[in-house]
Amino acid sequence: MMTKPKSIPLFIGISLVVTISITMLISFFYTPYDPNEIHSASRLSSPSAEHLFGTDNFGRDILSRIMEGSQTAFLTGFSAVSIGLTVGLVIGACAGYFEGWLDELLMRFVDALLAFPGILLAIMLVSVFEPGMGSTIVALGIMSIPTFARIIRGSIIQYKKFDFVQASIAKGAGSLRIIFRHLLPNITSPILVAASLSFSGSVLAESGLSYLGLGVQPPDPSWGRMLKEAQPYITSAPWYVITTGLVITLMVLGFNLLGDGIRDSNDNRA
Amino acid sequence: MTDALLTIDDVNVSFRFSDGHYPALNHISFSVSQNEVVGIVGESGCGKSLTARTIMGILPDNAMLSQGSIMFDDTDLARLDEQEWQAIRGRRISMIFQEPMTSLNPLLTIGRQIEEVLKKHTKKTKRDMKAKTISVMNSVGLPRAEALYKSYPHHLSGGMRQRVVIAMALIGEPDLIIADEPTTALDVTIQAQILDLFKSLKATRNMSMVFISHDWGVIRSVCDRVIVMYAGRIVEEGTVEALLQNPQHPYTKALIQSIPDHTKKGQMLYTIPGTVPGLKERGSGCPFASRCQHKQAICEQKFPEPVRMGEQSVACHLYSEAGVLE
Amino acid sequence: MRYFAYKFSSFLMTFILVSVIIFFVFQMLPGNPAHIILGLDADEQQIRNLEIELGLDRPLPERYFDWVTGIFQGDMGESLRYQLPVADIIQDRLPVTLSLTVLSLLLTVVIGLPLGLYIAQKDGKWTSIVLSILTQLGISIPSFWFGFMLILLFGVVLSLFPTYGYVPWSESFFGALKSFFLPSLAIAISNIAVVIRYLRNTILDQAKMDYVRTAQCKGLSEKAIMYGHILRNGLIPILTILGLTIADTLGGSIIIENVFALPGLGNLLIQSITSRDFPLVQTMILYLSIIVVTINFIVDLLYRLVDPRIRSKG
Repeated sequence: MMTKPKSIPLFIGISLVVTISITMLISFFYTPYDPNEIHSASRLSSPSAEHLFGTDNFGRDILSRIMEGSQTAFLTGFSAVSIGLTVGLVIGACAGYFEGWLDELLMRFVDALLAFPGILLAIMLVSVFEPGMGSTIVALGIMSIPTFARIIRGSIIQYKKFDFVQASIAKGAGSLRIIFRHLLPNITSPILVAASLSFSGSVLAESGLSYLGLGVQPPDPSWGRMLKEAQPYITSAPWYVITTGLVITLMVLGFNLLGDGIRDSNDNRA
Repeated sequence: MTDALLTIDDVNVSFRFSDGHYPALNHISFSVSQNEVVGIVGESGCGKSLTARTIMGILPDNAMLSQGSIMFDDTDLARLDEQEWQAIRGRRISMIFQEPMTSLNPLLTIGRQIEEVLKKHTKKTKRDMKAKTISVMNSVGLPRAEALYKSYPHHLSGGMRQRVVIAMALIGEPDLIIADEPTTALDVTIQAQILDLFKSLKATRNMSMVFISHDWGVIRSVCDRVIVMYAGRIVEEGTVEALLQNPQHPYTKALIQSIPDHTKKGQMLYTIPGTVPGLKERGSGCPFASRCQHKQAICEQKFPEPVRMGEQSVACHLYSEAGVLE
Repeated sequence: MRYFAYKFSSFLMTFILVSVIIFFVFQMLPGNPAHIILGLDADEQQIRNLEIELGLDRPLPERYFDWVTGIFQGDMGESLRYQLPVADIIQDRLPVTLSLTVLSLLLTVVIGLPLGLYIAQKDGKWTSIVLSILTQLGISIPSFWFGFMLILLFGVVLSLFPTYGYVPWSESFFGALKSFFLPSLAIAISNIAVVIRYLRNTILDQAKMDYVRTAQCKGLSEKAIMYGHILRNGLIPILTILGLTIADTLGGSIIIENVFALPGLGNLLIQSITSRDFPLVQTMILYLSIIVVTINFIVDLLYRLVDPRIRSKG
């Protein structure tokens, strides 16, 4: 199946996601150097056999720091998606299943969340709470609610018209039972697509927030903050900026291609 | 055959798939004379619409005409390039489609969509084009044409939209019109009105037409001659009366047997067992063999040559030049 | 008229919800805002004074109402840090953000639309795969990192553009254009990718429609069909995507202003958060959101111009 040219983007997406996931898992047991060990003798040394990605302004090994940072990226992405999915599921399922005024109200709320441009909503939330990993996760989770709520609402409205659902409504099955037994199992693939895209969105937003100094705080490692630290050395140590940013890009790209690929393969099947 | 307007000779069309080429039309040959309406019948999947698209030069991207000629007047349409085609479409040959609800552009006014044909093919002034458009709209029975001219497709019912599509096909005063199931998607009463329109157009405009339908009732009311297609091949051809009264090919017989009418009241309606074989399931023999009650060994191996029988011609191993073989 | 009334009421509704959300989020500040602002070593009297100054002694709905009506009257309160009316500060910073947004949108339209249109007509299996990966890459690149890369390439290696700082339009038109070009491009890159992707999908979808076949049968050329029929129908989804792009562009400028040290609203926002100047932060967030809600409303009205089906609904 992977030999078909059409599935090449999906294949690339899966490869990227798997590679980065494995690297993340390895980082729990092994990194080339201690990510926080300072070697003032080898400050800002360019990539070499000893330090594949070079060292930063404190002489710390950039590759090790990137590996450690992947834990934060996965943790924030995963937690934010879980929050967004859970809340979005409740909102979307209620709005789609009951429709009427409840739908109108919930969807207006969702629209209101969408009215905040870019990461402004997350910026607002983290600025009110103590900045840190926890508030970053909550903020990104709330930011991803609208996507899930809309997709779940749309699919539920679409599937509700089908005979097998109408039949169980006629039989007097409870709403929760219909939603969980009949509706949700049919919409797992759009949810999977949304989860994948929302994961990459959260990773991207986390790096932005941390770059602004509003996201993950030391001592927690973060790619976004590494970029902030790297910025002053953009001319003297360009590898610092390049490698860190490239890793963020590849991770986001991986999950985007994965989500898109799942969607395409579903479209083709239908 | 000197007065033939359109002569299709031994045309093959095939589809290209990732695993190879599959023929969809095999050795199609027929002609349409001046002032003649030729019907094409058959179940869906028999290549009726594909035949229409072949004549119109609008084959799907993965289909190609691999053999044969389509002589229209003195031009072989099969040899035209896209630019030459554009000068023919709408002006010399035009087409009417099945789906009146979707075949109009939802964002453009009715008037503009009909007029577009004149804009492309003539050098009339704006005022002349509008006058001509209104008069054609009147002639296809569109009421209050002046007001309709400025309205949008969603304002119109299905029947009215189909009249708009017909007006579009007529306005270029083409020599040949191809109508692909023009009444199928309409309500029964509207169907009757549109058929009446076709009959009156046939009487007043002397037009030549290829009329595709799966409905013998429709075919009988507008066509002079009829072609029966099955799985990309012509199996029988003749005048409408001859085929209806004296069908020869087992497929034609079965089709006619399955027409509902009042004499069969109370009986189970006949249906042909099985389905039309898909593109990839067709061999070198007669494609109808698997559903045919008179199947012989040779049917599986070789497609029969058409045999002339009075006012009709039939392609079946049951018949030879001498008549029935049985 | 009914369409307008409906769209206007949902616009108002969204606006009210947005302002309520913002207001209440800032009420959730843990602890007393006066405490937070003044720090731990402030004495009771200072805190009391500030509370009265901020109106913290009045009931919540009243304070919300005052805040929202104040904004419409041009009175947005006073910044704690600058001791200046918020309206003045915003007005001072607005030209930078506006220039950045407009220039970036311009780049998106000028690069994205023609490129998308051109690529949409190249319908091949490999084109579509390469394109899908490339556009996805454009969407995946963090805009601020792309900004770094532009600085590296154009500013450092090629020395074509200034890498940070801002030249006002009034000082030098080309100087300003030059200082805005790289940051605008950094914001635009993902939007360009989105527009190309979307335009191509829209055009390929529309090309399958029956009305296209009808147009073909009239003898129209491919060009006439593309511009007279397909693009007109594609305009509605394209409008939607451009509307979303405006919001993204505005959001993008918040980060990019910090990369290129441009004194705009985004830059001000982050500074105010760091210095805990909450009245300013709260109002700025509302201000930016109002812009987006209003743009969405305008896009809704534009649909009506393009689509007669909406027009005739009333």
